Amino acid sequence: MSAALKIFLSMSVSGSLLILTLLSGKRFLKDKFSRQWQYYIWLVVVLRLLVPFGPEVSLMGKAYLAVDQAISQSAPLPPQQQPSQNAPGGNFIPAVGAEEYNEPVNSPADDVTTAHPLQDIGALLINHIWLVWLVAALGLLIRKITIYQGFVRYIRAGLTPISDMERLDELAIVAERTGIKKPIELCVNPLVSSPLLIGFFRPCIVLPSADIPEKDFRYIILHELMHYKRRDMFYKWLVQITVCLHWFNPLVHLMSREITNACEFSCDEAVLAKIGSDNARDYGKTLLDAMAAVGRYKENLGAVTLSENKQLLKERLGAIMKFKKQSRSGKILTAVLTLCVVLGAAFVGVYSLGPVTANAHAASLPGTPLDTTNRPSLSLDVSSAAVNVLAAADNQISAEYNSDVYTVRISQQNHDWKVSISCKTSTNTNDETIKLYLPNVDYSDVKLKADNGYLTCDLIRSGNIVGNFNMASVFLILPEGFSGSVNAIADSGYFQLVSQDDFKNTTTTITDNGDWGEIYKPKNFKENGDTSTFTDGTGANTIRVTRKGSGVMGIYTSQSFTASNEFPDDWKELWQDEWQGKPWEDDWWQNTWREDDTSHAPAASDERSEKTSTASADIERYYEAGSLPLFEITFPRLDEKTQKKWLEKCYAEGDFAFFSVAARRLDTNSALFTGFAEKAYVDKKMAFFSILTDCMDEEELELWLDRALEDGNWAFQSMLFDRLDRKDEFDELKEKQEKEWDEAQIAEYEAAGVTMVDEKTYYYQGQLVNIFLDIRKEGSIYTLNMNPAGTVNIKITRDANNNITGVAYMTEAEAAELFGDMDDPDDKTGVEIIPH
Amino acid sequence: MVQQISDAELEIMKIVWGNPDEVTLFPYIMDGLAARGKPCQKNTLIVLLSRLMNKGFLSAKKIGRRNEYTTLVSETEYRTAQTKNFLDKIYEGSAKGLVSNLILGDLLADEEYEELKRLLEKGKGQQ
Repeated sequence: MSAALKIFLSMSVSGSLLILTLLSGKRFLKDKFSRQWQYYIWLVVVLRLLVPFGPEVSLMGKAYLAVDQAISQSAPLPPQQQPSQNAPGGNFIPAVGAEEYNEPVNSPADDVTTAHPLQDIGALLINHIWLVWLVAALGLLIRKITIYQGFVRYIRAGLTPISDMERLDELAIVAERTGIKKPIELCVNPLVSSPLLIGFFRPCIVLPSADIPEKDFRYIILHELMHYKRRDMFYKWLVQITVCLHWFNPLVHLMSREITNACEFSCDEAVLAKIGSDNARDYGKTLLDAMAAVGRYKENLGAVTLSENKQLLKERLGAIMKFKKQSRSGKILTAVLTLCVVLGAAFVGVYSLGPVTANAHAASLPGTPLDTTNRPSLSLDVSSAAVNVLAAADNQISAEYNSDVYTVRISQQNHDWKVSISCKTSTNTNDETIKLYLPNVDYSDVKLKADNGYLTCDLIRSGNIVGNFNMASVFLILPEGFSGSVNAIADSGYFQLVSQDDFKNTTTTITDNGDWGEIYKPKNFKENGDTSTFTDGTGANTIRVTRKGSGVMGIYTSQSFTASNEFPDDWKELWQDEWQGKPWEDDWWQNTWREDDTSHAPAASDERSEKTSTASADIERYYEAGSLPLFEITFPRLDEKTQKKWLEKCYAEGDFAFFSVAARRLDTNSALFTGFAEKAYVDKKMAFFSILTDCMDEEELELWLDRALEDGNWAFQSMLFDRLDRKDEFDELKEKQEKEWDEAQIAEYEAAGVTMVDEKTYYYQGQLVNIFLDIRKEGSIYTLNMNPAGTVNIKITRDANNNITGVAYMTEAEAAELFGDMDDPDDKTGVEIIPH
Repeated sequence: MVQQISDAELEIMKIVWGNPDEVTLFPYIMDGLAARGKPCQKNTLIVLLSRLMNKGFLSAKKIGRRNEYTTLVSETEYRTAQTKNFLDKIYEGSAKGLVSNLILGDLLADEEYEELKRLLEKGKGQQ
């Protein structure tokens, strides 16, 4: 049902409520209130019926909400398919003036249970009911207009202008006194039964005969002039239009009759107010005489006649005799009641207007069911949202979503279907998955685009799928017997393609242009550099997938996803559990896990430990399988003890790669992190320490640098300066330190009896040294110098504290051993080796 | 065809015809009617004037807030049409019948008769 019609129905219903109120109140009001009021108060109702505006909170809005809920709840939907938050109190989506394709509709599965032909007819009727309404309304209006035109022509045909100057003057005088400036025509037509007024802009009073007593004539023209002055004809036509539009509402027809009567009553009242109640009897008599010949033509449409029918006349005569001026209290009461009616009309309101906040609701394409005889093309664009594509029960496109958070646009042009789903807010804490229902038909082109989101789709059994996925987790399942092609590019994030018939009759090409991450694929794919191919049967269906950026791709057959890398089966749950619903923030995969870290909440500890135990089992497998990405993802889900165990294991085994991905998941303030940093520093494990420094901030790095400077830890200083981007400073420091160090060295050797002239020239006891060897404890630095001109071979001996204990001559054997170890005996220059 | 007009309308036409000026203004007609002892309301005159315009006797040119009325039918035209109408109605278009009736009713003097006869001859000669 279209929203416009819904609004219109609500207008009709709220109008009806007002009509009922006024009609039931009439018996009490009749004599208490002026007839004028009783006449004009209907104007409020008429406006309510015609004007589709209302305050934000209205009775109708609430009523409709209730009705919609009832409909959606009675529909045979599985519970999770129902709108999740249809709590009352909220309003609905703006309908009028809102995007056409964003209309609130009932759940798409409304009539799932009905038989198909019936359903089709029903749907057709529902979808075109507005047309039925419109055609009827227009038809009625045209009919009324033509009837009126015919009547006017009938009157005009036999019209004779009254040329009696006296009568004309009388009319002119009365008109002037009534306050009418416009000259009024006065004519006679013996065919009319009673005096009447026709013409909107060139008014003409038509009398049945010119031969009427002076007094009657005056009353009659006064009455008709009063109609003219009060613009009763416009009022009447406004009512007629209302009746035409609300033709289906019997109460509106009743109202129309009521207004016609009230019109005469109030006109009588206005006339009496003018001529004074003394003349009421005379006026009544005139009315009675005018009734003498009634009913030669049905004049009651559009034209304002003096007498409508006998019953009414009787009432009118009664009212005329009872006429009295309204009292002051009556006036106040009138004012109060008017206010009540107007407020009532406003409060009753209409359905769904004003800015509203909807919660869960469904959107669908208007004018469905869709034509699916030709292969339609589909374009689905998901941005920062989690979308699950499901098969629609009928040929409709619809979506169930939270309109507070998402914008869903569905449009259709010829056979081009477009759906775009995006998130309204920049940060999304909503973890619901939008259900998108699409017709399960053969498609031509299918464009799937997911940006920073989540998308599952197993619906496309035929069609040329072009996929562009960026920072998204996408699960594309090709059903058995899929025909068509796939060309998907997954840039970062996760992309999984499952062929349920094991890539039957396909030529499948997997290209890896990505950085960090990997592709899991069936064993029977032939690898050739960055591409892997597989051809089966006819090979007619071309499937091409490309990995870009950093992310993971999984290409699977129906069974067990037998991956070349012995990839575990439950990865799917892992990705779905963790990524579904939270995939939209930047760096979403990291944030997802970070969030998990912070939620070490006290509650649900059982659940958590269960979760970690499966995680620890998982990580074992991932480690064995050598899958870095999955290891990294699973690592934060471990409890701290297990994390420590794994870090220690990597540390001990020198497994830098696994250690580095695990370390990235650690909080730099955690005891685990600082513990390992300390350990690596103390152990002088530069490589591990370097991994950890990758995660440190500047402040922390500086703390470590201070410490390294204090300890004189040369290597670490160098690395930390490098990390801090202060290489120059280090070089300066290095120069200075080296100089100091050299001086200290010379002094130290001097003390032991060795004179160092320059780097290559050493003298011991006056003799030039041939081989000079100085090995410090723990092997951090040793100095070896050779001077071919030298005559003695010496070595420096040191104690545990690195202090020189003495100088000794090397034996021939020692010298030979030394040269034997050297790869390049020609290299006779002094070397200073810093082991890594 | 020149239409029939009512007595009141004829009164107005007479005033307009009698106006030596090309155009006639509303107050002139108002005054003329009063002078003829037939004063009427402003709106009555407006109604009558609009009837005359509908019948094609007058045309109005609106200049500012005032209407300038000009005749579309001259007095002679009107009289001819009226006479013709009268002849058609009473004597079925025969002028002879009228003349014989006038003679019979002794309403026509001999000289007048001779003059009429000459007119008739002249009319025939022209045809």
